Amino acid sequence: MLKSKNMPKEFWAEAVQCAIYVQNRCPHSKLEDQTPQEAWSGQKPTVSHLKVFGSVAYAHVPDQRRTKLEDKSQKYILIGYDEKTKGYKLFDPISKKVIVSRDVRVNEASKWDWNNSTEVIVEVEESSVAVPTSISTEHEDSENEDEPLQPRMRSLQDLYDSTNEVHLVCLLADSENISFEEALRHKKWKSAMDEEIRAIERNNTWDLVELPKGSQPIGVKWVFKKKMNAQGEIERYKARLVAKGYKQKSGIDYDEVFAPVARMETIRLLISQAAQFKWPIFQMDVKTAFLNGVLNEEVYVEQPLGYMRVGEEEKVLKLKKALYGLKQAPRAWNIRISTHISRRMGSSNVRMNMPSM
Amino acid sequence: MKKNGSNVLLVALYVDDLIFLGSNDQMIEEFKSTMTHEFEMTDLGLMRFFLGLEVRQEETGILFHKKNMQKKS
Repeated sequence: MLKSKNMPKEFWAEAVQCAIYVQNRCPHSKLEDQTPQEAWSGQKPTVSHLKVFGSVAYAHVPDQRRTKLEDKSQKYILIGYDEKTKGYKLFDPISKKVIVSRDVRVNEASKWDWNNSTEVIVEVEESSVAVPTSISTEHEDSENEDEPLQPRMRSLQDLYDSTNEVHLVCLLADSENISFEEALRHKKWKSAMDEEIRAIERNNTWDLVELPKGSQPIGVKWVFKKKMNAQGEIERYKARLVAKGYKQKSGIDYDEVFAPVARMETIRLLISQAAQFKWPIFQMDVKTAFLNGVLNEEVYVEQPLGYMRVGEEEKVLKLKKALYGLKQAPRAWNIRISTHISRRMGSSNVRMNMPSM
Repeated sequence: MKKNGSNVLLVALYVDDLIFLGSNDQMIEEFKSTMTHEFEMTDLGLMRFFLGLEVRQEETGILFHKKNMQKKS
């Protein structure tokens, strides 16, 4: 968005906000014939006011604010939409101020020349407007894929006029977008969940107890992820039980959360050491590392979906060791492994270097 | 860092990823076995990727580049 109008990097936050605004008004795979905005507010959002980000906009200056001979409008750059009023957020490139105005004309073909502070009108070539009328998510025209991609630019108004349906693909977090109920129906996900529960129970993570009065259990949830190999094929189905750590309260559910990690400088130093002495560097990683962390605080979690103890559904799990998602999980893990390393290696001749914050 | 006479073992830990090197092969093997004993570990052999660094260890020296990191960010 920034690049197409040669906008300075400083506007990335506005670009993100504007993109979210537009995404919330686009169809979403999880919702049937609805946009997220509609699902939230119950009203179908209008999209006719959407304009190209970064275009030059002319805001009307009210009569009271100008004398007879002054310009009736002032030049601004469109940087988004105001969520509270029905207005555009505009940036004044001269005074560097942001204003909100409703009375705006936008020239979508134009962009601001940020170096010379003048407006540049970009001529939209006719040929570049030849975009298929419905941009579908599937690649129907695979023979076209080999052609070098040309940047295509059209004004939004053009799109509304020429297309009946526009599908936009949203970028979401990289976990699989499936619910627990869906996962249950697939053998691979089910066995991934079984495996995770087995790992947790082998680890002696929790005890089933009655919830003491006054305590609040933290919810848990399943997160599913397909592990791909370098060729892009599915290598493994992974299910992880995570605690809803965001519900934890500081001072009650956790105290300290800081955990040190190695700094890049340290790694470089080690590599240069290895190079100097011709030592090989070995690497290992710890499976389900955070589950090893020992908890000092009293934390209760709900029983995970699909693995409730029959007849004891009311009970909760008292955690002895950490779960992914808990605020203190990284710290608990770090304490566990660093004490292990220093103890096993004979603490007298071990120097631990904690990176500074 | 561990010193044992003139031998050293260097360990760096990044959350659940460990790299280690040292002057003495026996010390390295010892460290490996105590870690595998205490935790469920995956032995990745020679370091290839660590913190977005791609490393190639060869007879002539160590080569590392950050190409992959740039792609991700």
